[in-house]
Amino acid sequence: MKRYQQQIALPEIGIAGQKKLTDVKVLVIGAGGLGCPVLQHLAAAGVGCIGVVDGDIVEESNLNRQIVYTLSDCGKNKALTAAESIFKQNPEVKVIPISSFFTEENAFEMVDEYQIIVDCTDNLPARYLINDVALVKKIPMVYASMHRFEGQVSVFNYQLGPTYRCLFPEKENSKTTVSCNSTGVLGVLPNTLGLLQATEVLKIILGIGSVLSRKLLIYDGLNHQMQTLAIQKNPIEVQNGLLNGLAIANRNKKAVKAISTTEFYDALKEDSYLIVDLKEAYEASKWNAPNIQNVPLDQLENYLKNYNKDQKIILFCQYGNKSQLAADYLMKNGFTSVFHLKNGIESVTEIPFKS
Amino acid sequence: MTITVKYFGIIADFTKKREEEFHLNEAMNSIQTLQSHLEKLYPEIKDTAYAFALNQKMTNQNATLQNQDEIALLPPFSGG
Repeated sequence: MKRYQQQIALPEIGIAGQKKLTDVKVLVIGAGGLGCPVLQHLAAAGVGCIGVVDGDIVEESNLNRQIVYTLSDCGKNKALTAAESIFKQNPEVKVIPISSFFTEENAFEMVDEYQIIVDCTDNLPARYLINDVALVKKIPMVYASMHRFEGQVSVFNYQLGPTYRCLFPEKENSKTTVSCNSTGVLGVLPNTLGLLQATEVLKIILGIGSVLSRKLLIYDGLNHQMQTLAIQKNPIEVQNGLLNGLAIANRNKKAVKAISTTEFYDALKEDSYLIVDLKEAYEASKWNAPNIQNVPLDQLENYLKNYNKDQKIILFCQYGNKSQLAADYLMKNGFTSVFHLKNGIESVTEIPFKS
Repeated sequence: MTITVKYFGIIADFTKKREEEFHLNEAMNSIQTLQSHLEKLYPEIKDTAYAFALNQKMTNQNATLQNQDEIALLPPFSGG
């Protein structure tokens, strides 16, 4: 606890506050310019469980601002690399890396058990998606974004406050949105904004101070100006977000997710999946691993009788056609979390466990 | 009446200034009329999504303007 003694010394925090930090799960979406400082500071403060989502890889041009990474990390996945670095920084914190992008297909699964989402993404569709998922899940979204030397920070969906859509209703045909890759960015700016986000996250967890909800903070780093604008809740936009979020949730309820070989390898390392090879007895097994069960198609239903319907299941076959059909069938019969290996085991070129 | 209009983000890239004053006649007293005036001056903003703030409060196009008001044009930023 020595690590945290200076913050425990604050009367607003104390031992009880530190326990709140330990017990919370925060999901950081995007491990780039905003995500890096958010991750570092949530971990430093002792936030018990931090999920980090990013499908991108580290590039040299990221290093002027994303100071979690080093030159030797270039080419590696951001979520995995950041998780490793954060773990070194504070091994008491559990960091869960998710090495894919946040999409409509995986959004609800990713957010599942988290209590706060930190929006560190770099594009508008992801921000609307986070907003709508957060609305359905009734959790706050701590937002920041930037353009050149300017930044915006706010907390949406906090205690029934305004949402991102209340501030910026979605405009179908707006052409001019740009990423920092094309406009340029001074490295300190996302770090300043990320620290403001981390501050809001900690206040929400601790229940102290006043949270930056119903307000938009605008920071101009070039002229050092900070101002806050009042945001009002717009019931139509709240409803739009909620409806869109629910539609996404429903769409994915019945959908079988096809996973890539990389995701397959990741799953092999986890105990939570039931991994099933659908090969028939007469087919040669290309490879196996201790946690792969061989269940021929006609025995599958019987085999799964004793499993809960929410058991995470991955099916695979030689080419992905049989596993797709079987996974569809299981989903229609009440299983909620069935995956199959896209393109089958033939697409797996690197075999971690040889038979 | 005289109002101040402030530009943020990509809107300021288009206007090439952070703020400017406008002297409006009394008939041009809504944000909507101001908006069409600004879109004539800076055609690029027509294709840009942005919200209005009136005297530090987010508002919509139907709000009416008064002398000395400060209006901000605020686009969503996407960078992160």
